[in-house]
Amino acid sequence: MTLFLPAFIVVPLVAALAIMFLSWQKKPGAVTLANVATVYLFASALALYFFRPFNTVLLFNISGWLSPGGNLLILDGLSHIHLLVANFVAWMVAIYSIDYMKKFANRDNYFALLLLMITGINGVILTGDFFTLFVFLEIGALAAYALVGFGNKRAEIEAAFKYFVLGEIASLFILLSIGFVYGLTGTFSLAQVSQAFPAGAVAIKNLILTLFVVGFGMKAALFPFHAWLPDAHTSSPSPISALLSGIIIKTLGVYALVRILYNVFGVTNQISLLLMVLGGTTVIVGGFLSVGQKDIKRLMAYSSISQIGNIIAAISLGSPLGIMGGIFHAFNHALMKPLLFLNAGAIDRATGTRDLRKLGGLSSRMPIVSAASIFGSLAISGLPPFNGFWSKMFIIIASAQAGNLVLAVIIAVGSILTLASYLNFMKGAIFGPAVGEVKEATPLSMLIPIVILAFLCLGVGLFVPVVSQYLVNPAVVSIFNGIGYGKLMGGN
Amino acid sequence: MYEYAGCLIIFLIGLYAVMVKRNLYKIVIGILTMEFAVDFFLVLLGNRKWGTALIVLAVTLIALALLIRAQAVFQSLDAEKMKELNG
Amino acid sequence: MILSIIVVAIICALVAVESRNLRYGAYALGGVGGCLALTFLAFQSYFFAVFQLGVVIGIVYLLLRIINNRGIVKDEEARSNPLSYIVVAAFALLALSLFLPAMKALPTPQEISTKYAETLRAFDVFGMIVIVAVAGIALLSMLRSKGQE
Repeated sequence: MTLFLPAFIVVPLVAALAIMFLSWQKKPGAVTLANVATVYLFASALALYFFRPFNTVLLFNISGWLSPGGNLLILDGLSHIHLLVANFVAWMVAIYSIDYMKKFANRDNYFALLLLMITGINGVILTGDFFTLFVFLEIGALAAYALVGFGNKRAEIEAAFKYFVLGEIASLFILLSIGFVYGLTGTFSLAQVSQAFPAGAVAIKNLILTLFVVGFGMKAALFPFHAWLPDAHTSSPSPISALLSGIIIKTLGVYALVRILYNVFGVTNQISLLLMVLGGTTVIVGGFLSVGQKDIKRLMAYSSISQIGNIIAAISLGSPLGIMGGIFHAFNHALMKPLLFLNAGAIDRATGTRDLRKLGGLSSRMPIVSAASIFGSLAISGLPPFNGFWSKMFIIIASAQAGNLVLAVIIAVGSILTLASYLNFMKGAIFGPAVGEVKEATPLSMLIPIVILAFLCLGVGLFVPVVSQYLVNPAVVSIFNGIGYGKLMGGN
Repeated sequence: MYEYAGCLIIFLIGLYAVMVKRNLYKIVIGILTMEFAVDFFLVLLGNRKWGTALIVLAVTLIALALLIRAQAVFQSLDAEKMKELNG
Repeated sequence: MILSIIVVAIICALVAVESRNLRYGAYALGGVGGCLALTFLAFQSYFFAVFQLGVVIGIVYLLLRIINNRGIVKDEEARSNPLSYIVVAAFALLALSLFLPAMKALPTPQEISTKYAETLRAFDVFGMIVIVAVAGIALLSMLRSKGQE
């Protein structure tokens, strides 16, 4: 079963190269290839749930010769939930892009870059080695920069450039910190570092962890490093915005940070506090900035920032319920936000605008998209019976349980701000008198992912016990295992 | 120990360039300097083989693509002119 | 010895960042990379010294190419706002003061070659080649694309 693991990296990579080759030969088939690849990836991620016995870890050793500090691919509860949702959303995005990207030149390149971004994402999720983490982080990031600027107009290039600069600085901070880790322990392997890290070096540990928080915080758009996100997620093609907001900031940002903080080093009290403060601030900043937005996608982008704050603050609480709330919210947001962005793309495609002032009354003319938008808005605002309700509630309860009433209030306020923003969205675009005109019907390939995601938001909300037992709890257990993760690998 | 401080100084020089300079090209030079600085750091620490040379090359390629497109679209490389998107 | 290489690198970095003539800036950046290559030499990794030099020459070539072909302004423009300088200076002081004690704990470069083995594996090189491939594809897509029609 462990043979499956490298496939998550090899398959999208080979598919991307194949697409470039086909494109060079002027042959069609890029679209089919991309969709086949993403279906396979999602199916494997799902299938692995049946093959991986509960609460165990799958390992795959890459270096054929078992050198000390062998390069591992690791699949535990935390990686698995991210792997599952990332490949699922990627599949949805691939379907959606069939029609959405018809209007762009160079569609083959798009699919190649998309698959390469997926390679990066899967690599980051599965790797057990610091340097490999960095390599895949860069693969995903470079593909993302290119995809953000794909439209090649003023706004896209500006957004891509800002994202590039901040993203690279973030990667460099991370690499710098990895250097310190290597200098102190002599190994890049996550498991070995957790065993070999000198226990007494508190000051250095704080420095290294702070560097990681800054670096991955920039990748995750945590305050005060969030400045690049609104431009990047607004100006990119909508399916890419969905993938960026829904997956990348969580995988390349939150997941990597959590893995390093909790499983390799063991989070310290100062760092927890730092994350809590930054997380809480992010919730409010993102919430406030999203309320006044007139551009649908910009509204959603700021809202993503706010939700990341929720996730980080929740995990930083350290209690089982807090961590569960955080992971569950990450999972839910990975379904809700792509739903919303894909809807925004559909609206943009059909009416030609994303400006709320120029839109109105789409409920009669675009019924499916409108219904899905309502689903998504209610879910992200935390209203029952959708999935967002449960995760937000868990987070607030966890904060209260931990005695941190300030945080509970902050999250509640953040939820209210989120609700206000999405009410604006619904009032401005979905309900009310009909404004503007719907130029074309939304193609089926765009509607299918939207409908599927909408039903999932509802379904997960209705079946929370099932989801939490099979998906979320294993992840929580992994985090709680803390440095035990290293011992589990046998230090190898 | 001073060698590492030297790496950090180069890193800070690059960071300074990125934050202060207005010409996009200089900003790119700043990022590349930072890349070299971290590369130095890693090499001094034991990565005596490839270093991160190829990664620097890749970053350069993307930076160039962005510079070329920015020049074409904005007709200038002044960061002040790239304020289309507010916030 | 390595310290002197680094000092040269610092000077090159300053020139690269500050020089008004962008061509000299590109050469200076090449100088920084060249110092890296020299460092490889100092550690007697001859192949990688050459490799690094090759990559650096490639980078400098690309930078020069863009200056020539696209009519990019050769000189710097006006100064930016003083606030950024202060922020950078503050950050630099903060960084140095935080990093120096950490750096004392690291083994010196001279010690390292005996203690730690080379750990950059073929897989990572493969990964880096993939990165370059991504950059190449991205370059193609951005330079040939006509964007949204």
